[in-house]
Amino acid sequence: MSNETAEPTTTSTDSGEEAMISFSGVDKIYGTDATEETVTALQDIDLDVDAGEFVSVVGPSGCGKTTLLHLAAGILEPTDGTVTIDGIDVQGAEHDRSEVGLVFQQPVALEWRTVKKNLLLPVQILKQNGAIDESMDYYRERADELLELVGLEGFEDAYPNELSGGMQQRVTISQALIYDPSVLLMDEPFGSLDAMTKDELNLELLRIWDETEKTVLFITHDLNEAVFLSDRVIVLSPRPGRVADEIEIDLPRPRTGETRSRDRFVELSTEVHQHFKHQR
Amino acid sequence: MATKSHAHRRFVRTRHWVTSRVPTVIAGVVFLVLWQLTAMVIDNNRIFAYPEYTWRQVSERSDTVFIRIVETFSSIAVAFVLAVIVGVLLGVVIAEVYTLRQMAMPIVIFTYAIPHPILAPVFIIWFIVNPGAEIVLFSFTGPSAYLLDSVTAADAAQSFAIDGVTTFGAWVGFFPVFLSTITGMNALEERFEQLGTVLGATRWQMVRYFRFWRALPNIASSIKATVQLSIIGVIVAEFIASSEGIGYQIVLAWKGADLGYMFGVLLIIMMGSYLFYQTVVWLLKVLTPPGTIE
Amino acid sequence: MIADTLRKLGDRVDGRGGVRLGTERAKRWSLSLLGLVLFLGGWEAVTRGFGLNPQYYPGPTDVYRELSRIWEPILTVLPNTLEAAGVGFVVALVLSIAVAIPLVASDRLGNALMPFVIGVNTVPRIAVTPLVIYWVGFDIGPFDSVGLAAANYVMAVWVAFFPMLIAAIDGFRSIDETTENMLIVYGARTWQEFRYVRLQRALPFIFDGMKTGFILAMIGTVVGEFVSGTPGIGAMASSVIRRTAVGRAIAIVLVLGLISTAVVFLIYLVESRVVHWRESSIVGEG
Ligand SMILES: Nc1ncnc2c1ncn2[C@@H]1O[C@H](COP(=O)(O)OP(=O)(O)O)[C@@H](O)[C@H]1O
Ligand SMILES: [Mg+2]
Repeated sequence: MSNETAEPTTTSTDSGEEAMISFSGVDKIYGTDATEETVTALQDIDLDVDAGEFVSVVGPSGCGKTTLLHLAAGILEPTDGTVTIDGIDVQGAEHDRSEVGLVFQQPVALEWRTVKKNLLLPVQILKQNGAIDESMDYYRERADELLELVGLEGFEDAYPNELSGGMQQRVTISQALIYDPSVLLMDEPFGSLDAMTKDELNLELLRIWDETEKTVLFITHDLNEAVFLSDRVIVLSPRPGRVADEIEIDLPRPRTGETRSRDRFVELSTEVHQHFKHQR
Repeated sequence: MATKSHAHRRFVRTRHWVTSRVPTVIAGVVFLVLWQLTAMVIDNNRIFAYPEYTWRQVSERSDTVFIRIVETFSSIAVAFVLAVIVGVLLGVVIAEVYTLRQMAMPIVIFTYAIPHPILAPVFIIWFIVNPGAEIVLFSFTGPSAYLLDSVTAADAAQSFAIDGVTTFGAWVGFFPVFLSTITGMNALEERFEQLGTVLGATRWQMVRYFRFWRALPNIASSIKATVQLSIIGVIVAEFIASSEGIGYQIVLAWKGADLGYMFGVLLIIMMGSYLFYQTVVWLLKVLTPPGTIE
Repeated sequence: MIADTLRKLGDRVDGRGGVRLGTERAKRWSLSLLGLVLFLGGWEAVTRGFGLNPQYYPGPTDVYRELSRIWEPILTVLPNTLEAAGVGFVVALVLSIAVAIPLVASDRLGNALMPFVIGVNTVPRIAVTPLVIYWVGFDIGPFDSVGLAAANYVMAVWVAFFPMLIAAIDGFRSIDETTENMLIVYGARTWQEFRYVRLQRALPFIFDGMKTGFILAMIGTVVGEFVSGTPGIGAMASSVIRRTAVGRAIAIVLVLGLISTAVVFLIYLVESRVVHWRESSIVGEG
C-alpha cells in the first residue's frame, strides 16, 4: 500500500511566474464525521499547471481523480493545503467563478431547457451575480458559434432527451466554454462514449483548445487518450492518491489521427503503461 | 484487538442511535411547553385544556380508555393484515392477467378517487343487517383486566374479528399494496423473462421464483402507506359510524363538551398510531431481506 | 409508486402479444369498457339473482333510481362542498410550497422540523374533526361570518396540507449530485438553485401531491359536513345513512367519486402540459 518506491515529484514552474492551477500540500480526507470510517483520498499533492498547458491525470478507478478536479473547481474543500487558480485561493471570496469551466463525467443538461437555453444557463447565473459583464445578446451569438464549433448547429431548439449521448456530451462541453473561462477542468468527459465518438471528440477538443488557448486539466483512465491529448501526463498512485510520476509528452502539435501510429506515441504510451503496471 | 474494535463499533452505533433520537425527544419537550404556554395564554379549560387538566380527565376514565385502545388497535391489526393479504393476492392476479388488468383499470382509478369515509357507514350497515357475516378470528381477555382492578374479565372481553370496522379499514388500506404488487411484478427485467423462457418455466413458476420477489421491495415500501391508511380507516369508521373503540370516544367527548378528555383521547390516538406505524416499519426491516426497505 | 403502477396499468408490460400502437389503444379502451359493463352487469345479476333487499344491497339500477331522485338536492348543496374543498385545496397547496422552500433551503430548519412533519403525516389527522367543529362553534375570530361551515374549510386544509408538504419537500430535494456540483461551479445562490433547477425538478412531485391533495381535501370537507351537519354533500350522506338508505349513500359516493376523478384528471392534463419533458400519470403518490 505504501508508496515509498516512487519519490513524490514536485512540479513547479521554472521562474517566479505563477502557475494557472496550483495545488500545494493538498490532503483530502473523506468522512471526518466521528461515526464514519475515514478515507484518505489524496495526500501531499503538489501540482502546478501552467497557463495554456494541457495536463492529464491518470490513475486507477478510485484513486482520487475526481476528488482532485473537484478541489480545483472549489466544489470540495481541501482537508489540508491550498488550491489556487491564477494565484487566488478557490475557497476564498475573491475566487472568480467565470475563470473556471468544469466538464462533468455525465451530461448535466437540464431536461426542460432546450440545448441553447442550457448553454445560456451559466451565463444567466454568472451575470446575475456580477461575475461577467458582456450583454446577453453577445452570449446568444456566442452560443450559436459554439454550437457550430462542436457540430450541433440545427439542434438549438432540441431538448436534451432528443440527443444521443455523444451530442449531450458536446452540449456539456460547450456549457463550460460559453463564458470563456481560462481554465477548463474535465472529468473523464468521454468515458461513457464509444471508441469512435471518443476519437472524434478528442480531435475536436484539441482544435478548440488550440483556438482558445485555455489551460486544461483533463482526467481520464484511458492512458492512450492521455498521451494523445496532453503536454504532460500525471500518474496518481492508488489509495491514498499521490503524484507517483509525470511524463512529458513531446509529440508535435497539431496532433491528428495519424499521431497515434507514430513510433514516439507508441513509446510514450508504453512508458505510461509500464509505469502503471509498476504501481500495482 | 478484534473484540475491542467490535465493541467500539457497537458503542459508536449505540451513540449514533441515541443522538438520532435526540430531536424526537426535543420535539416532545417543545410540544409540551408550547401546549402549556398556549393554555396559560387562553386560560380556559373549555376552549383549550391544560396538560394537567387533560391528564386528570383521561385518568379518571383510564379503564374505558385502556379497553377502547386495545379494541381499536386489535381492529387496526386485523384491517392491516387483511389489506396486505387481499392486496397482494389480487395484485398478483391482476398483474398476471393482462385482459383483467385492462378491464379493471377505470374502476380502480375511480374507487381510488372516492372520498372513502362516506363508505364507512355502508360497511357497518352491511354487517349489522347481516350478522352472520362477522367472523371472529380469536377472542381474548384484554390486558386491562389484569392491569386494572376496576376492570372485570367480562368488560375486557375482546376479539380479533372481521367486521364492519375492520373490513372498512382494510378497504382503505388495500390500494397501496395492491397497486405496488402490480407495479413490482411487471417491473421484472427482460433478461429474467428470457431466462425463464430458456428454462421453460411455467407461468406459475415465473410468479413464484421471479415476479413475486421482484415485487417484494415495492410491496414492502407500500406497506408503510397501508399501515397509515388502515389506521385512518379504522378510526374514521369508529367515529363516523360505530360506537366502538377509541374513535367513538372522541365523539363522546365532543358531545359532552369535555375538552380535556377530547385532547387526551386525540393525543393517545396520535401517539398510538405513531407507535404502531414505527413498529410495523421496524418489523418489516427485520423480516424482509436486507436492502428491501431503505 | 401508485403513479408508476397506473402508468403501467395502461401499458402492455409483459411483452405477450405484440400489437401495433393504434390497435393497441383501441383494444385497451374496449377492454376497459367491457370491464365496466361486466362489473355493473355482474353486480346487478347478483342483487337480482339472490333477491337481495335493495334497501341494503342495491343494484346499479336501484342506485341509478336513487340518484335521479336526489339529483336536485345534490345540486343545491354541492357548491358548498366544492367551495370548501376547493378553497382548502388551494390554500393547502400554496402553504405547502411556501413552507417547503425554507425547509429545503435551510438544512438546519429542515433537520429540526422534519421529524415533526413526518410524525404529523403518519397520524390519522381526520380524527380531530370533532375538535375543530367544537372550536369553530365558539364563534370566535375569523370564523364568525361563515359559522360552523368554517370547520369544513379548516379540515380540508388540515388533511391535505401535510402530504402535499412532504411531496413538495421531496420534490425540491430531488436534485442529483452532479447538478448540485454544477451549480456550485457557477457560484449559484440559493434562490438561483430554486429558480433554475429545484422548482422544475419539484413540479412532477407537486403535481402528484396535488392529485392526492385534492382527494384528501374532499375527504376533510365531507367528513366535516358529515359530523357537523352543515349543508353539503357530507351532511346529506349522514342523513341518508341514518335512514339506512344504502342505495342513496352509494349514489352520493358515485357523485363524489366522479368529481374527484374529474379533478384529478384535470390536474393530470395540466401537468402533462406544464411538465412537457417527462411522462405524467393519472394518479399521484399514495
Ligand atoms: N463523498 C465521499 N465520501 C467518502 N468517500 C468518498 C467520497 N467521494 C469519494 N470517496 C472515496 O475517495 C476515493 C477517491 O474517489 P474519486 O475521487 O471519485 O476517485 P476516481 O475519480 O479516481 O475514481 C475513493 O476511494 C472513494 O471511495
Ligand atoms: Mg471519477
